[in-house]
Amino acid sequence: MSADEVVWDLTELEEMWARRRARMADFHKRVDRTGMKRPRRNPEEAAWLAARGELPPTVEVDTPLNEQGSTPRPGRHNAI
Amino acid sequence: MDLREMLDEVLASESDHATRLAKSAAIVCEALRREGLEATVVGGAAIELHAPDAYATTDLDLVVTERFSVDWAAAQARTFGALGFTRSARHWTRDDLYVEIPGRRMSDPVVVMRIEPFPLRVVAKEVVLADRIVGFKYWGVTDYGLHALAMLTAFGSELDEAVLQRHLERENAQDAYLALRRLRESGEAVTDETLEAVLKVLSDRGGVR
Repeated sequence: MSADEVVWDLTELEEMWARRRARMADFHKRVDRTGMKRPRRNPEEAAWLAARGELPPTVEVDTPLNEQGSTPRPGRHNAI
Repeated sequence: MDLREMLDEVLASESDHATRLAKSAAIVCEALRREGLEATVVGGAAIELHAPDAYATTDLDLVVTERFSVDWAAAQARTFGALGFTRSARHWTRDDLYVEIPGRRMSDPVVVMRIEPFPLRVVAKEVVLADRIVGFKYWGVTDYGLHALAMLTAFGSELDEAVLQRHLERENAQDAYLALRRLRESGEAVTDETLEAVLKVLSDRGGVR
């Protein structure tokens, strides 16, 4: 089978997205994300996003890291 | 079936961001499945797949379940290499996709999104919502508060309250959930300041911050 024979069907997913998007129609009018704090990205990811001009207007803050250097699951055991 | 060719076509397309993410993730997970590995989408990509207008990301985080019989390093290199990804430290990148495998154990509820030809395993929406609420409360990351508010809005009555409460109770974060719900229902602006004010109230009532 080659790529042009592949038939994607996302019908069920698209119906779910449509319902959820409809509920959010006015939400973003209330939001200003500027200055919101988010976990610090690893340097490679931050550089990759910066090079693409895709860094959001958030402020990165230090949070716990797992053994691989990724942001772990938050919990009361690793509160800051 | 040539998965590389399929991914080429998806990444070259100009379809809706969430559609592109869903198809790309489905192809990557199918490639891992053919190596005998089960992958589940977690993190920000899971948020976008559940509620596209709540969050958008090109960072695809996967939990790929460990199997003793599979040489993980070799399987990973084969899979991502064959799909045209380049290794960059701990990540795999291709076009605007940034794939990371932050974990090897999946114990949370998972849903299988019906995408044909490759169904996609995604961590349940209640789990990603609870994680954002917990991160908001215990790390003070206001952006997670915004994600939680956006998901609460998008999910509406589709949310399984029992599943959500179970995850919140485990982390003692029901207070943050209720506070965020009040902010959502208030119609107030959602800014760093208003979310910090919510955190201050939680802290004054005996929270951790």
